[in-house]
Amino acid sequence: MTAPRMSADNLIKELGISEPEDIDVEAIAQYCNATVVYEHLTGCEARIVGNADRAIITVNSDSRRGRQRFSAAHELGHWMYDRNQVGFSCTNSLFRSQWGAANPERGANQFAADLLLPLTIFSSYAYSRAITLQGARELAHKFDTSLAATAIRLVQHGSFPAMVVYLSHGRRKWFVAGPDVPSVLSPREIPSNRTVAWDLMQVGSNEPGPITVQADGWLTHPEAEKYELLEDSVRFRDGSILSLLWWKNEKQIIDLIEDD
Amino acid sequence: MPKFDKHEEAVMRLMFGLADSIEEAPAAEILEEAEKSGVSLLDEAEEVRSVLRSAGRSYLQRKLVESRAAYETALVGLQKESCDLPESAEERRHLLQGVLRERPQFQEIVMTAQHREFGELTDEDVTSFLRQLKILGLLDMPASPTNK
Repeated sequence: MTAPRMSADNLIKELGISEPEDIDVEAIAQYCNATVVYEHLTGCEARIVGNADRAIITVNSDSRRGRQRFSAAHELGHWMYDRNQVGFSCTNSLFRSQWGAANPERGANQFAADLLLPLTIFSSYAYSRAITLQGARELAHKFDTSLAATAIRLVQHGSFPAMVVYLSHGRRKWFVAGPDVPSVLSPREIPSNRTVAWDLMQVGSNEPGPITVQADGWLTHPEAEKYELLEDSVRFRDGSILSLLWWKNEKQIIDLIEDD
Repeated sequence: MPKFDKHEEAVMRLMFGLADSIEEAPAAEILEEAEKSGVSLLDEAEEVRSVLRSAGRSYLQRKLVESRAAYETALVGLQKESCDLPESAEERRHLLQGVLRERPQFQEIVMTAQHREFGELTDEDVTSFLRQLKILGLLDMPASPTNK
């Protein structure tokens, strides 16, 4: 039997999934003729070996459950889209670093996000939710997903204008802006010393909570100094930083729209 | 069409008769009757909705449930599958090396960004790769590299 190639949305629909707890990633993968196994892996979070019709997805048994689910869904994305192009893929442990536009893993990450955080279900949970780390964590807990993937989904499909920025070695590695954020508002390569992220880079504390900062600390736009953002940043053990920027006061965005 | 015995048919006639009488009764009469009996029609309606929702959900998720069962079966099958690999780790490593020499297209499969050097593969990795390639029929390999 040839394994079906379907989008994550179609899989969700086909399997009648309507609540976060229904998203049984092993069962979904098996429906696509990919069997998920858990083994100790070194230097790699997950891998997939497949022939034309069947695949084995191996996920690191030592990882946290949210990470395991995302890894399995990510490999399933390769199975859906890259079959016959690659017999195998091995997913790096640094998932957070793989959301950049040019990253070849982005497609598989998108599939995983669509499967584990399906919009038909996610939207109602994200509605009116504050764009903060706590808000993202509550959703990550509900959907059993990673913080970074959930934060991106929240920014893209939540109710308020916001952006998520990932910094590694003090520099911006990638950012994702929500649909209501004008494209002229892009984050600096290196946030200024008036941001929480900067403090986290210097001091190394973990997470001070949401703090209002002047927008020009983060944004390159020439008039950014007139506006404010709510910043919520966290520093991970590897020193990288995830920042949620929320235009809680939407004046900057309204002014830019009016200027247009 | 399923067959019913006399008793079942009698109960069915009674239930259909009750359903017809409720359908034909004026709404005010039903409300009065329910109130007298201390029945909350709102609660009853919610219960019926819940039963219907649950039945609908079960029906829509039948493929998901089947896939979960198929997954459990597949896992057991994978564990049971015998792969006839060489006994020693060194032999298995040589076997994989031989496979990669003969089938350079698998180089890309095994040598990932995380495992640039063959020597960096752990014994567990080597065995796991060989097992999975064999199970998937991607490896028509001899039992031992020395038998080639």
